[in-house]
This record gives sequence, C-alpha cells and structure tokens, in this order.
Amino acid sequence: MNAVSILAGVLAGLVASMAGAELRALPEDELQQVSGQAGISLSANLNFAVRASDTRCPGGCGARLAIQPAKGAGFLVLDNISGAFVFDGASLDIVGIDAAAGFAAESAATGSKAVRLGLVNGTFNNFKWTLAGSNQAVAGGAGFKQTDLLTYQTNGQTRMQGNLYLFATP
Amino acid sequence: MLSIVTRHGLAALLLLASGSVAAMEAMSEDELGAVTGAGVGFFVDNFLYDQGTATAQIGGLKDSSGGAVTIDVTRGYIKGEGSRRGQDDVLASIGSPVHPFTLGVVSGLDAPTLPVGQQALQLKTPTYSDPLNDTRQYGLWAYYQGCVYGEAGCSDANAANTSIAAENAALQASRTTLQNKYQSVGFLSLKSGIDADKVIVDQRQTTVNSKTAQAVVATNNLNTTYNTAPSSYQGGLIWYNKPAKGESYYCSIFGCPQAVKNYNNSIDPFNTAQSELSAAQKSLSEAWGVQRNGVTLIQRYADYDAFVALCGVPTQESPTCTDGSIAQGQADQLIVGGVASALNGGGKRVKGLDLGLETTFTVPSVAYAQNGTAGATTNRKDFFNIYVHGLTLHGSYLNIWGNDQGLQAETSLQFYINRVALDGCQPGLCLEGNRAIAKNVYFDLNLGNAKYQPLNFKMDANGEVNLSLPAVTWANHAAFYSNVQKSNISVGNLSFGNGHDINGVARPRTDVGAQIVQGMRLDYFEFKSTNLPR
Repeated sequence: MNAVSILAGVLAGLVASMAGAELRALPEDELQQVSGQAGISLSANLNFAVRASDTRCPGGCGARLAIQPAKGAGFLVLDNISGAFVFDGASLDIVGIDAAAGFAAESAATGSKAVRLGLVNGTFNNFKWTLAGSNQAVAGGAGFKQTDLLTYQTNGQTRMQGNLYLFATP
Repeated sequence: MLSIVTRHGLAALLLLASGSVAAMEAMSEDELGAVTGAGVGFFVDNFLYDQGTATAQIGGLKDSSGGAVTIDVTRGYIKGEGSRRGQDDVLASIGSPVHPFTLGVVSGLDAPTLPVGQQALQLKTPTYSDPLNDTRQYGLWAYYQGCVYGEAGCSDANAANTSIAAENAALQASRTTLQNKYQSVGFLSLKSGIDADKVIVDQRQTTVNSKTAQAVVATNNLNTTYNTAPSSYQGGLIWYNKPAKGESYYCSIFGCPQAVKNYNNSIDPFNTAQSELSAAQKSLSEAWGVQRNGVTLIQRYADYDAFVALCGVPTQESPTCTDGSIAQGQADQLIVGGVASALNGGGKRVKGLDLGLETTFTVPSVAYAQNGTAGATTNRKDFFNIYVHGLTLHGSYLNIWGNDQGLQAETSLQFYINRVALDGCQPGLCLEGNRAIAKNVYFDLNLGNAKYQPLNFKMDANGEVNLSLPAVTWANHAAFYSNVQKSNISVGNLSFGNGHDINGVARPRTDVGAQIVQGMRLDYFEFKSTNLPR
C-alpha cells in the first residue's frame, strides 16, 4: 500500500503542477458558451415506514423531526411522518432564465442560469404527519409530554406539477 | 508515506497564502456595512395542485370538552388566476427571474426596521414598485373602487378616483367651514383663547373632583348610619318608626339610641356636600360656556380638535393644510390616480393564484325530545367552503434572528385578493345565492418590530407553543407609537346571498358595502397552545 501511496502522491503532484501551468481564467463570453448537459430525471417512491415498537400511535409511529427554537425548553415536532410519496418525471436541470428562455419582460440578464427542479405528478399513499409541541426531542422518555396541534393525512392520486427555479442573488 | 504528499500540499498552500497576505487589508466599516450574505432567489412556474381523487383529512383537533373534531378536505386546489373555482387547469406562476422570492441574510437598507448592525434571515416575496403590482398602492385603489376590475360593470378604473375625490371634498368642506368660522379670529388666537379659558375650567374641574369625593364620603356615611339605625325605638310610652332616607329620625324628649343620633348627624353633611357638588358642577359648566367671538369654549375646543385632525397643528393664524387627514387624503388620491391611469393605459397586473378548499366537519350531535330528554348521539356533517380568486402576496417579508430572548421575528404580510367566496353548504348544491362574497380584499398585517416589539417564538418546558409580543412600556411609548407599524384590513365590497326563489332564480344580494379596519396595533400579545381537556 505504501508504494502505491507514494506513486499516487507523486502523480498527483505532477498533475497538479502541470495543470497549474495551463490554468487561466475563462473570459465572460467563453463562460457563457458553457452550458450544463441534459439534466437528471427522477422517479421515486419515498416510503416512511412506521416503527411498530413505538406504541404511542395506533400501529406504530412514523418518523419524527424535532426542532428546538433558541432559548426555549421545548420542541416543535413533526411527528408520525408515515406513508409514501410517489413521484415520477421529476427533473433536475440547469436552464436559462433570460430573454432567450422566453421570460420576456421578466427576464434576468442575458446568460443567467438557474437550477430547475421540475415535478410532473405526485401521488400520496396514506401519507400523514402530525404537527405537535413536545418537551422532549425523542418521544417516550420519563415525564414525556406532547400536545398534538393537528394531523394531516392524505391518500390517493393528486395532481401536482410545477417548476421551481433556484438561483443566487447578489 | 502519505505525509510527503501532505507536506507538499501544505508548502504549496503556504506559498499561496503568503502571496495573498501581501494584498490583504482590513475592510473599512463602510465596506463591511455593505456586505451581506449572498442569498437565494427562487420562483415557481407552470404550477398546479389539485387534490383530484385523493382523500385528505385534518384531525387531532379537539373541542373544549375533549371530543375529537375531524375535518375532511373533500377538495383542494391551487391554480393560476382565472381557473373558475378550480374547474380549469390554469397554470400558476409565482415570481419571475426579475421579481423572485428571496431568502438571505439582510441588514441596513434591505431591512430598515432592524436596529443598526443587526442582521436577520429574511424571506421576501416578489416585490414590485409599479402602481399595479405594489400591494399597498393597488390595495388602496381597490378599496375605493369596490368592484373587481375587469368583471362585468367594472371597466372604469376612475370609479375609485371619483370616490376618493368625493371623500376628500367632504374633508375640504369641513375645513372651509372651520376656516370661515374663525377667519376673523385666526387659529393661533383661537388656541391661545382656549388655553386661557381652559385654566379656569381646569381649576373648577379640580374643585368638582374634590367635591365629588366629599359627596361620596357623605353619601356612604348617610347610607351606613341609616342602615344601622333601628327600624323603630320606644321613647317613653311611644314607639317611633324609621323615616325615609334623608329625613330626620325624631329623637324623643326621653332621648333616642346613639344609632339614631348618628344617622341624624349625617344628614346635614350629606345635604351640604350635595349642594356644594352641584354648585361646583354648575360653575364648571359655566366655565365651558364662556364665549369669545360668540362661540362657547366647549365648541371652540371641539372645532380646534377637528381642525387639527384635518390639517395638523396650526403654526400660523391662517394655516395651510400640510398635515392631517386632508394631506393624507390628497397623497392617497395621487396613488389612486396613479393606479387608475395605469389600468386605463391598458396596464395589467401580474396574475395571482386561485385557491379553494371544500371541507366537511363531522361533529357529534345530540337529539333532544320535546320533554328535554337527551336522545342518541349521532354524527352531523357541517360544510365549510372557501374559494379565493386572484391572491397575491407581493411585498411581504419575514425577518428572523436570535438573541438572548430566543427566536425573534418581525413580519409584514401583504395579501391582496380579488374575490373571496365563503359558503356553508354541501359542495355541488351551493350556488352564488348561498355565498358571502368579499371583493378587493387587502390585508396589510404587520406583526412584530425589531426595535420596539419583536415577535418571540418559544416552545416551553411542557411542549406548548408560546408566541408573544412584549407590551409597550412607559419608557418607550412615544417611540413605540410613532414607529411600530399598524395593520389595516380593507374590503372593497362585502355582500351576502339571499338564497333562491321557487323558480331557482337568485334573489338580489344584500350589499353591506366597503369595510375598513385601520390603524390596528397590538400593545401586547401572548399566545399559548394548550392540551385539551385541561
């Protein structure tokens, strides 16, 4: 392993020094020619299974996310997140948000790009979550208290689509 | 042996570092002040949400007796404006490359309400400055317009101009009346006359206050001694009965009980105190009635107050109207005019969102027999539906930061809605005649102020939500009232449906007109969740 390490180290050093000689800043017009390749398309089935051993909820509780706002003793909790969210045709891409991309009067400066997250369809299967306040991050310890504020659950075929564009602002 | 490579890298880093050290210099306070963290901008297009065939339920809510309340969301949608209550799949766009939502750390000019040097994480909705898309400007115009622009019978954007002009003309007329009334006197002389006459009023008011206190003591004493006095007593062979309150209790030649004497002794002080009080009140009322130029003090006082409200505090005998409701009205009229001319010039507002929610509440219901005995409990279904047309949030922000008090926030919500329809009947059976409809609804809600009243969010040791706004204090009340933003709610027109006649034709709606709540400010606020039943 040692010999390999040395070799790798020397090679890395060489490559680094050679590359260093060739490095130059790309001018603005050349940078603008660079565009991302075709994005990624995703289909997924996110399933939040319940833990049967957690008997606070009928049939077991799902995932729990606890947030403690500063200087407070308690936690804001998203509890019992369970069920599945299935989506297909989700995409991740880098796209233009300038006039060429069809944003007309609302276009950003020529050449501006943004990350685009697209969703074509989403389905929920017995998906539910509970918004609650609790005195402990992990449920079920001694003196555990929790006030459930509301529970939302949905099941079936919804239609949800849209593109979210993300970009850095100065 | 990996260490060789590491050393090599380290040497290179050191070289680079020493190279850059030479160029490093401290940033000045001005330069530092201009630095804010780069934020993230985002916007959404081609968006649509329709609950479709999915079922949804909001549960976990309890009524005050601990019974579960379940809300079935039978239909929900978020679509683009013009979806005809969600029937059409109009795609929504929220924000754009030039007008995105922004999330980032701000200070200074980006968040003028923050104290100097304070930074906060800010989430801001798309913010426009043109008259049609700036929510404050459009909201003001819409309030005076009353109807939704573009709907049948609402194509004249100048209706708002006419309406605010009439309101301003009425204010001007009130001012003219006051100016004519006091033209020969002058407003500074009016004020000095009021001040001079008010001295006597204040003196006499002090007298009334002290005479009132004395009368209260004398009255209490009379009541106590009267109640203590026996209902009758025997003097020699004769029984004497208690008289009506205020009349003296006869004391026989054989004497009478001390309680009777005490009562008798309290009558004169009572009568004296009452007559002194009424004399003091009369003299106070005379002081208010003192005339100058034929006008009583009380009238001059009211007139001066009205003038200050209309024009601000006068600084000369014939003051110009530079402040007060007239100046505000004129400034508003300019804004309304700007929006109207933009609309008349063919300007279009950025499209908003259509939102709808149809819900069914299942509540336990007990049937009672005629004799009042409770029957079986069954579940009753109640319906509540809301349809929002054309919602925009332009110009809203939320600033959050942390300090020794915990998580602090301030927020300004700028909701504008073209039309909201509410009803309480079964979806599919409901028609316009069953709905309450509010048009041109503008919520300008400001909660929290970084300097004077930050909104504090905490979860307490019992796991309950605590939301609070600290109370205004004597020390900061002046700055508080001049700086903490007020909240306003205005509705251009509110109307209620009156159902349908036997032919199924909607009866005329009841119009309750424009509604406005202006200048709300929370002096103190505390919210705590609680686990029911207590």
